[in-house]
Amino acid sequence: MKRPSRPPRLARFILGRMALHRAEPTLQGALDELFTQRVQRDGRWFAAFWYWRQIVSFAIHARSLRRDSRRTSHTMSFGAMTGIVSDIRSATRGLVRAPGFSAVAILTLALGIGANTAIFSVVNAVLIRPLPYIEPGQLVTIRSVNSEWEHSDVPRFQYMWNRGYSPSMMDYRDWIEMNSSFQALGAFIDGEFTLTGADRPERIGGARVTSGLFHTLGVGPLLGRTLVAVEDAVGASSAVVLSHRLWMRSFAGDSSIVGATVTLNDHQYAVVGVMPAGFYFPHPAIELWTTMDDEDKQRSRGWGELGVVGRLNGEVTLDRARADLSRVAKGIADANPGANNGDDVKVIARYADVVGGARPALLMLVGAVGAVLLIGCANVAGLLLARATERRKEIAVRSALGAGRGRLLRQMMSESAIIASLGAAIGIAVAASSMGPLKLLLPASLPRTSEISLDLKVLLFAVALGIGTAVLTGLLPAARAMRLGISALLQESGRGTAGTRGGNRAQSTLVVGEIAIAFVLLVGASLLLKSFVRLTAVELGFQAENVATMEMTLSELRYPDAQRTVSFFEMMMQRVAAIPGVTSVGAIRELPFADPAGFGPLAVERNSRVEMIDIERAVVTPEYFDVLQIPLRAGRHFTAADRDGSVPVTIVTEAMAEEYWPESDPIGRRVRFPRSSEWMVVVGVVGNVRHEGLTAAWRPKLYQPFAQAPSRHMSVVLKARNSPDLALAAAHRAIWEVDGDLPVNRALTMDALIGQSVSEPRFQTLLLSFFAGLAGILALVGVYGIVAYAVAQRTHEIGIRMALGAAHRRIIRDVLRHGLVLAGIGLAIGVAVVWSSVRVLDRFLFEANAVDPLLMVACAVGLAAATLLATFVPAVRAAQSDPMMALGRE
Amino acid sequence: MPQAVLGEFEHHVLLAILRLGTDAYSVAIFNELESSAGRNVSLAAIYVALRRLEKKELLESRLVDPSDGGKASHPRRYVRLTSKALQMMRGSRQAFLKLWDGVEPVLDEQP
Repeated sequence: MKRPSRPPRLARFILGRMALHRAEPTLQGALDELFTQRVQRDGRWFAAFWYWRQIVSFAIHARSLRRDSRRTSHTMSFGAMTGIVSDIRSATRGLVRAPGFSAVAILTLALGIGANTAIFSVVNAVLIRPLPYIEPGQLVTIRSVNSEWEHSDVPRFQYMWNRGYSPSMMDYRDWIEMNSSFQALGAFIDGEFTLTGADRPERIGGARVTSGLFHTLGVGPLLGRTLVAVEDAVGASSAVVLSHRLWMRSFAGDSSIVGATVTLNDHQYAVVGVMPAGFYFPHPAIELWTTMDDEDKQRSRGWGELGVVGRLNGEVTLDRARADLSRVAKGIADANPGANNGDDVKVIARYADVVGGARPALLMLVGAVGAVLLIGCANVAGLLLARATERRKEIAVRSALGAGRGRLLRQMMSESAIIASLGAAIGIAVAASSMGPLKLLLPASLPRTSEISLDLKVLLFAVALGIGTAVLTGLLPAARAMRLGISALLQESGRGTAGTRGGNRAQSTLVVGEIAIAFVLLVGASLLLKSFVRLTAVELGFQAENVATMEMTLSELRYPDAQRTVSFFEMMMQRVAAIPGVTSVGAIRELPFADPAGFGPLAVERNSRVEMIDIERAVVTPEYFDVLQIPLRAGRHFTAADRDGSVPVTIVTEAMAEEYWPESDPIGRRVRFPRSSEWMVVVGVVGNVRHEGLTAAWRPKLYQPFAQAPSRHMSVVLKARNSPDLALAAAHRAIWEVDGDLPVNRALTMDALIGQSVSEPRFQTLLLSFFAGLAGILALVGVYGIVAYAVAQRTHEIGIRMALGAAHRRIIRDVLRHGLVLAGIGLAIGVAVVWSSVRVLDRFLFEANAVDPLLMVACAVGLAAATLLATFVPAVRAAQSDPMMALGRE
Repeated sequence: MPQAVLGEFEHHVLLAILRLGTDAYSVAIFNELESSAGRNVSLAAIYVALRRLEKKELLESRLVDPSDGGKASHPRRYVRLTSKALQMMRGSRQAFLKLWDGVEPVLDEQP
C-alpha cells in the first residue's frame, strides 16, 4: 500500500503557530482532508503548493477568524496578536525596571551590529555590488604574458606571469580581427591630462581609449555620444567624453559643452558627450576619455601600452576565450618572432581583476567583526539566562496558571527581540557615524571605495543581524525556561539552592566560548601589530625626514626639445633652492614610493663579454642623492659637467655592483641600452633604495644624469630645515614664477608618501586590533557577569560556610578558581583554534611567523590575568558579605 | 426591519449549503463551490463567510467530534440554514427572477 502523503510539515507548523484551532477546531482537519483529495487528484507537488497557498490565505484571514471566534468561558486565550502586544509591553516594563542590565545588553549588541554593518558597507561596495556596466559578468581583462614565464623559478618572472604586461595597438587590432569569443573589445591607456583655459591649470586623470571601449562596457552617454569607430583612424579629429563629475565641477553642468572644444595638454579636443553619474572606467580617478593620439594608433608591435577589456559572447567561458585568444596570440608570435616571441594571453574576469586583491583582507575583517558580534551575543544570552533563572518562580506560576509552552517561549523571546531591535537601531546609527572615520582609514589601494554607503542592502543586513541576534540571544534562555518543569521550578525556588546547575553550565559554556574567540582575535591582532612594527622599521635606504616632493609634467608644445626642458628645470631649481629654509633641491623621474619603477633591457660589460639584463632605472639631477642622503659607496656623484655632449655616465646601486661585478671594481665599467650605440661609464656606486614599498626587495638599479637623459616628467625633491609643508607652499609659488601654466601635482612630504604605501597593512592592523580589543573587553564583561552572578546565587552557601568559620581568603580563592577554570578551558580551545587556522594570516604578515609560541603565551597570560581581575571584584564582595545578611536573604 | 446584506460570495455559500443538505460542512462546501460554481476559493474565506453568516443568524452549526460517533477522523462542523436564511433566499430568488424577466432574449442576441 502506498504511504499516505502528509501536508508540508513547516506549513502545518506555521498554521499551528497561528493558533487558529482555538477559534475553530475543525480547521486543521478540513485542510488535511482537502490536501489528501488534492494529492489523489493533482499529485503531491501541486497539493503541497496548494496547501502553502491556503496557509498564506489563513494568515491573511487570521484576524477575522479570531475576532469572530466563539469565545467560551473556560478558554483563557487571547488572539496571538494581542498576546504579542502584551508580551512586548511586559518585556519593555521588565527592561525599564532593570536599566543597568538593559543598557549593557543593548549597547553590547549596538557595538557588535554597528561594527558589522560598517564593515559590511565596505564589503558591499567593494565585493558584492556588481561593477557599474551592463552584464558585468561577461566583462574580462586581457593581458599579454610570456608563455616561458609560466613555469619559471625566477621570482621576477613568476611575478610577471601573475601580473602580465600590456599588449600593443597592433596586437589589439589582430585580436579583434581573429578572435571568435568576444562580442567586443576595447583598449585604453590611462594617464593624466592638463586642462587649461580655466583660471588655474588643472591636472585631471584621463584615459585615451578606442571607440570599442564604450561599446564593450555597454554604457551609453547622458548627453551627446561616445566615441565612434572613425575616430580610431589615423588623422581623425580629437574628441573627448567627460565624466559626470568633471562636467559638473569644471563646466557647471552646462549642456552646451557638447560640441564645444576644450584644451587638454595644449591640444584641442571636441567634447562629444558626457557620461552618466556613477559611471567610471577603469577607476573613479579617471574623469575623461579621449580618442587615441595618432602616435598611439601607429605604434610598432613591440610597443605594449594598452589596457584591454573584452565582452565575452553569451555562452563562451573564460577558459574557452583564453584558449581562443591564446591561439591568436601564438599566431601573431609566429608571424612576428622579433616583437612577440613567446607571447600568450591571460583572460581574467573583470570583477576578479578589479577587486580580487582586496578580498582576503576584507574577509578577514568580516570574520573578526563577526566574532565580536558573536561574543556580544554570548554576553547578552548569558545575562538573559541569569534573568531567566531569577524569574523561574514567575515562569512556574504562569505555567501553573495554564500558559502554554508557545506563550512562554514568546514571552521570553520578546525581551531579546526588544534588546536586539534597539541594538540594531543604535547599531545603524553607530555605523552611519563611523562611515567618515572608516573611509579615512581605508587604504588607497582598496578599489571602489567611493561607492561605500549605507544603502538599502546594508540596512537590510543590519536588520537581518538584529533578527539573528534576537534569536541567538533569546533561544538559549527561552529553551531553558521551557525545559524547567513546574515541579523542578518549585523545588528550586525553595531556599538554599545554589542557582540552577543547568543554568550555570550553560552560562559557563558561553563564557568559555567568548574567551576562546577573544584569544584567537587577540593573537591575530598581535601578529599583525608585530608585523606592522617590523614593516615600519624597515631600512629605506634614504632619509625621508623634512623632505617634500612635487610632481610636474612639462607641456610638449612649449618645451619641444631637450634644451628647453633642461633649462626650465635648472632655472626652477635655482629659484626653489633660494627659498629661505630650503637646504637642498634635486629631481628624479621615478620617485620612490610614488612612481612605478622603470624597467628596461641593458647590455652590461662583464669579464670582457656583454650580457643582456633587465634593470630598474631612474633619471636624477646631481643634487638628488644629497637631498635624500643616499650614501655614496664608491666613485663620485654626478656633477654639472656631466652634460649632453660629454661622456655618458651612470651611477649604479650596491646591489647592482654586487650582482654584476662582485669580484672587481665597478667604477669604469661600461653599460649600454640596446637601442643606443653609446656606452655609459659607471662613475659611482650608491646605497640601495627601496622603490615600490617597504616590503620590496633591494633591486639592482641604474641612475642616469638628467642633463644626459632629460625628461618632461620629473618629481622635485627638496629638503627643508624645519617645516617641509611651508617650504612646499613657497616652492609652489617659485615654480609658477617660472611657468604660470604648469600644473603641480602630488605636493606631499616624503613621510606622507611612505605612509600611503603602508596604508593597507595599517588599515588591517588598526581595525583588527580595535576589534580584538573590543572582543577582549566584551569577553571580560562576560566573565565578570557570570562570576558575579554565580557569587550572588551562592550567597546563601557562602554565608553558611563563613558562619562555620571559613576564612575570607578561602572564599576568595574558591571564587577566583571558578573564573580561572573557565579562562583556562577557553584559552585551551583558543590555542587549538589558533594552531590549526592561524596560517590564514600568513599572507598578511611581513617577516613574521604565524605560529609564534611566545606571542601566544603572552596573549594567554594577558587574557588570564584580565580574567582574574574581572573575577576578583565579585570574589572580594563575596568574602566581605555578612553571614547573617546572607543567610537572611530570600 | 433592516435587511441583512448578503455579499455575492455569502450568497454562493448559502446556495452550496442548500444543495448539500445535511452533509454541509467546510470541505463539502469547498468542493461544491469549486465543482458547481467553478470558483477557485480558499478554505480560509469559506470559514470567514460561515462565521459571518452564523453571526447574522442565517446559519446554525453543530460540532461533531469523532468521539461522538462522527464519520471522520477529525472534528467537523455541520451547518444548515436557519428559517431566516431560507426566507431571505426565497425573497432574493424572486427578486432575481423578476429582474431577469424579459432580459434573457437580449443576452441571447449579444454574441
